[in-house]
Amino acid sequence: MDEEAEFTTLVQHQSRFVFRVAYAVLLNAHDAEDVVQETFLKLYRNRGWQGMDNERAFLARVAWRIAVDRRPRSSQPTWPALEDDGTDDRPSPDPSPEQALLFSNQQAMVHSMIDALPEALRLPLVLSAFEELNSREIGGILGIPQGTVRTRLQHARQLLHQKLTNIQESRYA
Amino acid sequence: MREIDDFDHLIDSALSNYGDPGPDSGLDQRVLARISSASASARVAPASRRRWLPWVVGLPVAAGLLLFFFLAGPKTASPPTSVAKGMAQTQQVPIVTAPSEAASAHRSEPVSSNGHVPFNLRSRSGKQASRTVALPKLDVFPTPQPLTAEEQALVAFAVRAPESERRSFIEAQKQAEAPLRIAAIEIPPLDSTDKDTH
Repeated sequence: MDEEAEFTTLVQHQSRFVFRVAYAVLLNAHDAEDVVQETFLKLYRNRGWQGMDNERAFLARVAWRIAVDRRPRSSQPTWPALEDDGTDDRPSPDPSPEQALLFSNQQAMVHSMIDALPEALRLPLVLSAFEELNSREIGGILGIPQGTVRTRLQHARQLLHQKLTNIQESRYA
Repeated sequence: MREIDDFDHLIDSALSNYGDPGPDSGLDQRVLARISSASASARVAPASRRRWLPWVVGLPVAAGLLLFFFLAGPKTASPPTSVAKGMAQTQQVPIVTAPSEAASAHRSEPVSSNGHVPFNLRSRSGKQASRTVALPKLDVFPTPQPLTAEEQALVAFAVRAPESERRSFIEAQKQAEAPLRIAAIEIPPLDSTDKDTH
């Protein structure tokens, strides 16, 4: 198999994965697609795709860096202190019970909850959902320790559980 | 407990397709098309890049040559300020005072109080300097000087005095110029009788 065919196969297999990584950062499909194209173009130009040990981790790291660079400065994440009591002074991004009722699809509702998570929690959560990416690899991609990845994953799931519980209670109230 | 399991299942299922564009979105085809167009433009780009290459090399070389000729050319630049100050202090004294008309017509050079030509004038230009060096030859060398008072008196004596006096004067001059002769000193031995008497 020549290089062109090998690269084409890589794009066909991993473009959706790269898109999802970029989308987790940018929360915008158009910008995420630009990141996908830039990621593969960069790999194609410097032949960086030929020496990949862990294909998905490598692609996720490249895409994440490009997406972070493309993100507007004003939307830089403020990394929350995970050791606090979990309270947030910002306006709650949770959908109100009336809004929640409008979601006909439960998955779409959970997607909006994931979007509303702080980026420090959202990125590890989204990356953990991908196959073949463990907490060590996620930590390598995001540049944080493995233990921090686990803590953030747990915190993110707790927040989602709490939101879902609140919505369910408001429905039955 | 069952609710928690349901929530986990809901979250996992939502995460599994979070941000997924879908298999039929054509994303991979668009990425491949973008890459092929980029590689095609990259193949064309070297020709346009090579068009700039001679300029990139030639312009610095030309600038360097111009700078070299400008610096290594004839020294027509204005003198430094220190030399200019020295020039202001020099006196405008003519250096050549030849008796002939050619020499007097020659352009005089300003010199300093100690008789040296200032550096800035010496280095004005090579051709000009060689022209000032080629002075006309003098008719009589060394330059005649007026007679002193003693010389004038001697001339008057030679003109007016008779022949005998002139000869005696010449003889006296010869005697004066003749080497001195000192007679040998003779010391007589002491008398022994005189010694005994004392």
